[in-house]
Amino acid sequence: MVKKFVQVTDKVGKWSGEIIAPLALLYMAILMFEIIARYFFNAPTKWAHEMSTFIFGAQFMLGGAYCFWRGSMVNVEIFRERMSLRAGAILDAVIFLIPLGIIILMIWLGGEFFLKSLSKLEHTNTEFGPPLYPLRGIIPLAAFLLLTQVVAKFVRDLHTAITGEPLR
Amino acid sequence: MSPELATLALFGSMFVLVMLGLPLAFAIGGVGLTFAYFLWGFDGTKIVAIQSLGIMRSTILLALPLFILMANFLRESGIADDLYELMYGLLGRVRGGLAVGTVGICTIFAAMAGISGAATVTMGLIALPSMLKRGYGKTLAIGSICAGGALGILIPPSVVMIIYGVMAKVSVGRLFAGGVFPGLLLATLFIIYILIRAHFNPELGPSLPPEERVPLRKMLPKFKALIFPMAIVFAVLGSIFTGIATPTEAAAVGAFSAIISTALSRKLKWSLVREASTETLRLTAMILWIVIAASWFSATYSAVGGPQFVSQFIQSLGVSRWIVLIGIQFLLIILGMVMETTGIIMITVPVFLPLIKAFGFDPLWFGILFVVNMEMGLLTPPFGVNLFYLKGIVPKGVSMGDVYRSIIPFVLLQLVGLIIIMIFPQIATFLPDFIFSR
Repeated sequence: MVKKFVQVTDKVGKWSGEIIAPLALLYMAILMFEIIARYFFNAPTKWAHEMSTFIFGAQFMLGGAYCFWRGSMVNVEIFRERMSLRAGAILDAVIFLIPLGIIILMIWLGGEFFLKSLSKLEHTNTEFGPPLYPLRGIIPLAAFLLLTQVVAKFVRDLHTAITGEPLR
Repeated sequence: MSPELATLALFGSMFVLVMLGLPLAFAIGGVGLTFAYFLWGFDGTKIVAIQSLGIMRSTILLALPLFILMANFLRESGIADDLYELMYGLLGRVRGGLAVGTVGICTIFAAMAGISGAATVTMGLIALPSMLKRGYGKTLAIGSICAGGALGILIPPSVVMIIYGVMAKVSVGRLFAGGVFPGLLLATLFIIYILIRAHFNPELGPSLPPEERVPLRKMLPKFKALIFPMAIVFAVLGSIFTGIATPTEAAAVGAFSAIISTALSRKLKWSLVREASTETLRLTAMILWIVIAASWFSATYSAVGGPQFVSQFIQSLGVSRWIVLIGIQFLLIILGMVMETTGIIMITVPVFLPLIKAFGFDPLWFGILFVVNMEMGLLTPPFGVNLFYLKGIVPKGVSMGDVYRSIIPFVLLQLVGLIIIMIFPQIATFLPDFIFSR
């Protein structure tokens, strides 16, 4: 049961990243289109910059879970190296309550902003003026994706703390 | 809460959490939100959504993933192999020539890529085994790669400068221009040092035996290795400096041309695209989650009047502004040893910049000094990112101790460069003033 849960969250971490990573090629292509349209056809677009920025904003936000899954959220390991596996797991289980709190706030408040924005169909105040609520909705969604990874780490640490062995 | 107490409490608790091993983004963000809650209640924590959306809509930060994508493709493009072959033929006969050439290639790579990892990893894979095979001393070989690779953040384009530019509200184009001569200065210092060391200790960097030397006339066709890199540098930096394109647009052109270069050398495969884009996402998400979390922290700290307090407090000490500048840099170098660059920029720039302006220093020049400080941080343990990159790829027989020993002279050379730029600010400010004065 515990093992199954961790396997599922691992898949979430991996695939969320694999799916959104190629979006980098999309915003690159949009910007290239804008540059070509502007310099070669003298026809700049109204939408390219805002559109590519939206995709980028959504991508790196959602990418937090993948980054965490890859173990790339930077941490300092000066003291960690001198600790036993078990002590390290207990410490992590305690301090990772902090990201848990952050994530709950992001889901709660981010969700509130999203619903408010959706209810009045908020648009940006630029000339292009695309709807803003999808981007607002990304914040709670990204936080939820990250939540799966943080909870999985918590479960792993708890397992190590109780049995003294890492969960395989 | 008084600003004095807030300064101590915010930075103190963040420091403790980081030391306990909590990832930087969570430590900075967690402290920022917790204090916001205790100061202003639940309403105060709304910054979690407000600040984040602002960063998600920043067009200038979009340049980051594009420059990183560019670097990830360039690494696989084979450009480095061709450049190394050219340099091997040209400089192999000189004592220390291969290490000099390594610094040279790193400089070219730095002018194409905006991160230090690209050149460090590539040259670690190509130049390090080659130099060790020719009997080069381990320390000289490794040192030249680490120090050369670190030039990536000083010579434009630079991911670090983009983040500094956003935080300090300095034009990224001007910062890029400001990094050109300081970067070349450091590269020159490294090269002079290598030549002198190898001249007096030939066993550190022996010249190639005559039978292994390539005749110069055979070298001519190899010069075409320079064409593509020069074209990229010209397109990316040229379009920014002439004002034709924004840094973000130029980054898109750079990424696109890097993909073309892998296609031209027949290395463009789906697996490479997947690898390059997931690596880009990993690094981009890592940097931007720190940026977002730090924006919550700064919002809280600014709201309690922290930056003004620090500025007034230091001004009230009555010490010379130069002492203050040196003190700030000392602190930055220490922070560079233990923290990741993005985090340092995000938390120190809002605090120090008002002070720098109050003392009449140029924020652009300070930005260049800042980047050199960060470069030193890349090379110094325990958190020297470039050392980590190399750790993963060093051949057998090279220990982490060798790596640590090898960087000492190069860190000292960076310090010399830093002092020169402090005494002669024109090295940093001349080019941006010249280019953007129109």
